[in-house]
Amino acid sequence: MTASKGRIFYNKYGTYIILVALIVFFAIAGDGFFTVGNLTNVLRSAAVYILFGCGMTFVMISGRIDLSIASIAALVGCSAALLIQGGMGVIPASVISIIIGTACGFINGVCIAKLKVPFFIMTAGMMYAAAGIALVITHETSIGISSAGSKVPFAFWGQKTVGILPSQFIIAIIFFVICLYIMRNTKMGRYTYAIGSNEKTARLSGVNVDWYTILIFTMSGLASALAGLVLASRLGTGSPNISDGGYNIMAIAAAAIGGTSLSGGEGKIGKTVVGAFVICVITTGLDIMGVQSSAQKIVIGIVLIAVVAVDMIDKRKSE
Amino acid sequence: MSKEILRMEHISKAFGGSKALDDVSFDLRSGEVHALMGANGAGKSTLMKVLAGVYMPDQGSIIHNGNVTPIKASVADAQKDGVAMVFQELNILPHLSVLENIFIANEITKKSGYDWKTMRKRAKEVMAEVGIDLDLDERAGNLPVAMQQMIEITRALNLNSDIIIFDEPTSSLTMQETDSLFDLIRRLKKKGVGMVYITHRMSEVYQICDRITLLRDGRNVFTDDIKNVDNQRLLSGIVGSDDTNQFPEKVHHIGDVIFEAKDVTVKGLYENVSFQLRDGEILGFAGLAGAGRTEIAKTIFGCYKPDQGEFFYRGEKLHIKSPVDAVKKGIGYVSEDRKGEGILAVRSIKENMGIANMHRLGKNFHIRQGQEKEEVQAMIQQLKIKTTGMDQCITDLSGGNQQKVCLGKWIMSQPKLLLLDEPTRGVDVGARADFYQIIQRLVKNHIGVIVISSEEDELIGLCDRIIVMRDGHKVGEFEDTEENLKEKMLKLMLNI
Repeated sequence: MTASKGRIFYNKYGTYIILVALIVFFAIAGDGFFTVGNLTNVLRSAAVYILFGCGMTFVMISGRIDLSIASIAALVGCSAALLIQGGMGVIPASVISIIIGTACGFINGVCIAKLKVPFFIMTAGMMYAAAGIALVITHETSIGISSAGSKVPFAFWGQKTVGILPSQFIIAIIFFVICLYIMRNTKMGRYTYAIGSNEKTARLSGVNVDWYTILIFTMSGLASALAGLVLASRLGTGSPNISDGGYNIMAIAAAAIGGTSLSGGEGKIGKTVVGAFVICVITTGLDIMGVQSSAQKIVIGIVLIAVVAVDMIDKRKSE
Repeated sequence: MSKEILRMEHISKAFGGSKALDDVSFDLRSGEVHALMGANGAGKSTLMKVLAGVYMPDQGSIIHNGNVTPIKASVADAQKDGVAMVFQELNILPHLSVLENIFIANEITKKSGYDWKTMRKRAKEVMAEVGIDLDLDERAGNLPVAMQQMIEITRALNLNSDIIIFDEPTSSLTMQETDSLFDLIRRLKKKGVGMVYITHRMSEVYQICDRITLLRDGRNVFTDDIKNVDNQRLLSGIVGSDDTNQFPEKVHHIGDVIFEAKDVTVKGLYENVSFQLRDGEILGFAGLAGAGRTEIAKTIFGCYKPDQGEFFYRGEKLHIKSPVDAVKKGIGYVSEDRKGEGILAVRSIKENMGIANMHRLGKNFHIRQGQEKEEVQAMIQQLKIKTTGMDQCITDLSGGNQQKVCLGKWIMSQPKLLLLDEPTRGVDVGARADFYQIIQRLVKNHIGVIVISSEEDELIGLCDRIIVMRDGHKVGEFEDTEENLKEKMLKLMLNI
């Protein structure tokens, strides 16, 4: 079906318009939204959603969902904390933690591609397993991170700023740009869309579907690992409780608000970043207005449903 | 003259900017089979989907049994109104039982819930009318396509439909199945059911249809009794000109053997199949559905592992473990199932063509997108694909143009061997000639081409040599110069 002009405009700019409208709303309604402190706050929390969201967008465009990202992040944060507590330098501890998180994603991919475990079951299983490991190794407590002895402080993952830009935001943007490049210009990007659009066609076009499935989930593991380090750094502790923080659904929401389809084959990673900002602007904006975080969830829920419902108008018509 | 039960007047429907239907009128009498023909994209399916409540027309009216049907209809309303459509892609719910499929959205209830007993009884009655006897508890997905279609017809009759629309009902049926479908259609005629029959196969029209309406580019060309319409009038009406010579002249520059299968067996699918493909020839595979033709092609392409036997390309043994290997070795496969495994549904023409070419267009991590665009553009022009541009979504194209994209992606890959499985399924007559010319051009460029087709005339018109398969065995091989070729092929295929 050929879309109408208004629809094409909305598809292109709709998410941006929503974001700008929210910013304008909170600038007027909330006192102190446009302060450097608050904007830095927005960027700090957006960074985490951008990291999680980028990984999730790969998975969702390929037609799947990854339920294990928050648990992987928790495991990574706790591993880093324990390694540093044990006397390891920040850089090797970070690298090893990233490898652990990426390996979790790799295992997801292998079991889904080769053992044919349905993605929902596999990533749900990993969600439990990784969260469990994080709880076991930390004896169910948060591990404080003190990197005083190290040349590079662990704080560079999530507490420093460059100008007004928080370090984790810079990390997230670098990761996003790499993801964007992969999506637009590489085989992996094309194959991700192809697998999500029609796996059989992809296979019969010579796409190594198994291998790229593994890569896609590995990518999500890497994204979760980076988010895990950022969170640990920001909190100053490796906390196993990160796995309960609702990040799984938030990442799906960021991608969905950005227009990524749950049935695969459609979506744009740049829009996921906008989606991540929409969520962060709502939460920080409502914070400023004094709305409690439990009530914030209602707003986010409604926004998510509304945005996707509007997205589906055309599809409803054409069916 | 039997009475008119349906009149569609001045129907127009546009999708975005393009007019799919432009002031089309159509009528149907009780007890008639009315053929609806035209090229792909002529508007046949769109017109019928308007009737079946799938689409809302922009203009026009539908009068059914003297009542003006409210235009804001839905499929459910249309069904209640007695209009049922048997789609080209069947609408069976594969995980439900035969019984559940027959009564879906039309369940018989009693106070305590569903009245399965009455439904069973009623289902048996209607199935007897249709002439089938199925286990009502069998999962519908386990049945062959022909039976699934019969379930849909059973469902339609159970709804007391007086209008049944068949959208290319025989495209995936074997010959015997087609015959029993035609028997059924003749019985329904006697009952007074009005039927619309969309097809590309002229022989079928002459066999069972009473009248014909021809559409071209979303407009009426003519409606007439079938006895007044000969092949020539039909063809020129569809094509829009008098140029109706479908098949290009054969080249017959037969050279060396380029591909060979030696004694290949995949247990349970086919056994001991050997054949050679020579440079400059088109090799055809004839047979009924399930004879093992598709499976042979998919084995060459790496989807099945042979239990025995080997493939050779120009004397060299081929080691192919998966389609990934096959594509790297220059083999392409166009699937018989375009929707299920041929297209990337929500993606652009460019991506649909590029997908099989990434191994060529990729440079380190990077895709050479400029080159990709040039190549895709060249394909669009070379294959005369009707599109607004390479970024258009493939599902916005007509079936024939989608098929050109499916073929184009392999031509773009500069293949050595192309396996074409029903390359013109669902493609209209006008566009078919394009396909035949394209295939011929490939052969001239020393690409090996194997064509699998369920249409004997197509194989005879196109191929230099034809292999006949039956029940997983090669049962015959003919040069196209053979006398009475069609008859001989059919005899072998049907084992009579």
